[in-house]
Amino acid sequence: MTDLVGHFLVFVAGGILIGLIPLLLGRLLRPQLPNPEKEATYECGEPTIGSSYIQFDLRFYTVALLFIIFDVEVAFFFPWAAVYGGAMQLAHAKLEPTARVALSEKLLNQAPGTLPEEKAISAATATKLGWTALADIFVFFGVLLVGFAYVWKRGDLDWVRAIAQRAKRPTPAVAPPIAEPTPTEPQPIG
Amino acid sequence: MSNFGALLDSLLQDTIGRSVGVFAPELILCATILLTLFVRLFDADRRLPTYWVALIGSLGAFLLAYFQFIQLRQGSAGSEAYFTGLLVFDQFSVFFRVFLLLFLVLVVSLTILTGLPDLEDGPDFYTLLIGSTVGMMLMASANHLLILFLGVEMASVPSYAMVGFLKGRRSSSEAALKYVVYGAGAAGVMLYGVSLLAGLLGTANLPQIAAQLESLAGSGRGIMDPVVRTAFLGAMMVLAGLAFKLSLVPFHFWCPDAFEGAPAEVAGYLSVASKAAAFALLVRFCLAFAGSDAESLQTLYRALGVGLGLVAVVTATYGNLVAYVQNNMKRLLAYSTIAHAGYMLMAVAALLVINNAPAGTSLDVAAESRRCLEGLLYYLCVYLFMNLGAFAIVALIRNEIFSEDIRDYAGLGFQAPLLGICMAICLFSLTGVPPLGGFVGKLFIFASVVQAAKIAPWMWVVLVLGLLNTVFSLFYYMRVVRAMFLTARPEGARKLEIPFTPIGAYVSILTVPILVLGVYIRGLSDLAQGVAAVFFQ
Repeated sequence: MTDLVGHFLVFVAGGILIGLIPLLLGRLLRPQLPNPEKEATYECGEPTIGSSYIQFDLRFYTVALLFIIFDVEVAFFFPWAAVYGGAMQLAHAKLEPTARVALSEKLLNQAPGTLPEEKAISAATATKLGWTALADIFVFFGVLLVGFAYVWKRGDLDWVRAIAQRAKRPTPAVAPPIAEPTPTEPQPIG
Repeated sequence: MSNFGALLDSLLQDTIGRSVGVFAPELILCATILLTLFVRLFDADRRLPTYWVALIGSLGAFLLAYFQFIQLRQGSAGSEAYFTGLLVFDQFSVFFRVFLLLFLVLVVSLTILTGLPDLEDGPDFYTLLIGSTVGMMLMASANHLLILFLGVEMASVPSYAMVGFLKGRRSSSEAALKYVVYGAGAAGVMLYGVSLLAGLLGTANLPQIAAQLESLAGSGRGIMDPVVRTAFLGAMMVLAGLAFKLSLVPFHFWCPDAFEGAPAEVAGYLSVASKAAAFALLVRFCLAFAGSDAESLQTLYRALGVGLGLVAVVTATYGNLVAYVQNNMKRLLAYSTIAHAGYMLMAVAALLVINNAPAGTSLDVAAESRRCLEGLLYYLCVYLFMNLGAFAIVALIRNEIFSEDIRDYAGLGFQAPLLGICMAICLFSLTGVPPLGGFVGKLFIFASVVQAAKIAPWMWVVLVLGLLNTVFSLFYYMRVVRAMFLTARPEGARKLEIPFTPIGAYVSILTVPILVLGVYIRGLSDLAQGVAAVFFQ
């Protein structure tokens, strides 16, 4: 424990020192010649344009939220796609035995050349794995899509939300429709 | 057939053949969530308001869980793991399933009565409400550290949004933000603890943790060994995360603000459901450690139990003392919630102490442990009705007089006698006045603390302070009753007119079980004993 704590303390102290030493050295070594050009905010060599304290449009958060959701979704898709692709390749009945062993090793996460041939994944098993994986991802993606469609329908994705919502969902009118055609009696044709 | 083929087959068999069936109540809730979204998606919510979908869905899930519970009670008292050992199906988890689903049905009914989410926001609200209930049900049946974390998060994240559900209210947004920040911090600490535990013990499966710890302690390492100590650091971090959900004292700051900012319905939901689920998880987590025969570990667990007992007593005292000076009803009830979490934690503390009694004890350890758990479950059941009752009445009164201030409650007991009497019963029961359910629950818990005190003398301190707390708490609950019944309604104040159907009937339905549980004790007590027998044969 003391060993661990010691290492930790050394690490923390080292981290602080590494940050402080360059600042200290700079303070001791640099010439003190301030001028307006030098004190200007550094922005990649360009003169700054206005203050950086500007107001961002709050509506960008919709974009950010959507990005995160679909970003995570894609992150889930990648490992799935790797397994599914392997399974689909293995599902071919006419695959060469050596290729089957190599693909199985990849799928089972084993070192090349360690899997005996009789333990390779058979085409029937691979097909089953593939269909299971497909069903899984459809449920996952389907639920996500329902949520997406709901948000879309609610108008949460509209840039100008308040106006779009008013246009889309008129307040339920209790009064009868205005242009209800009253049935007129047929005029006798004279 | 290769090994992999057999593995895949058994996995499919386990998932489709068994686990999905066992998991059906949760799946019904998930389907209900999708259905509420679909109803709005196809503009069917004009004809079929989403609250009906939510109510019917949660009722269906409740009935199914109830049938599961009856079936389990007739069968064996054992427990079986499903979904490859991530979740566990036993009477304890199904008891909490039934509990949470009953509560969900009651809360959905309450929101229909008070009209909390309007037609436009209905699907949002019910999606969040049902989603967090699914998370709580996962917490109650967690069998794996990963599910422990996922369950807590799944229950918490929708609650953050629900606390801030009333848009455009400054206090609501502030409350939600506070809750999020605290919650994120607690979740981080908890996840760190989980990773420490899983990394050190080489397993995240709760039933295997005890065995791993024992082999760690038995392999010549004492308590002072870094590995053992780090494992307990991890356990403490997980406990800190749970203490946040339970609003125990060093982690309680979010609770009054969140409850004051949230609508009373949501506050009632959080105060009961999330506490109950967190207690279920706490019991599971503590029992995963307990039950060791090694002397050194037993000493350590007893010390942990006494520590929890002291935290409990500090929590109860703090909650009760601060509740005195509150004028906002929701804030007062929030502090009362903190105090009650303290009382219930005493049962868990007693459980830990008794369950790790030294070898030569004269106590019947299994029977006494069962009684600790019985006390906790009994208390939770009464707490469901009395706390929801109090919050529901606050919400109903708010809808009429637009105030949650105790001073504005003056004379309400005469304008709406039924509501006033029900409120008085709820508050008396929260105090623990004899013929009511709250008294019986407290009695059970204090009886267990007495038994624990025979093993660990510090528990006498817990007992005495706990009893004193009960007396203290009477005064602030009485302030509300006094305002309602002993002061005249000021001239020109808003009138409170509550029709009997459906509001009066709903409030009565919540109050009657408090009276029944105070008199007819045996039914629920036997049931709780049976549930506790899952852990202690």
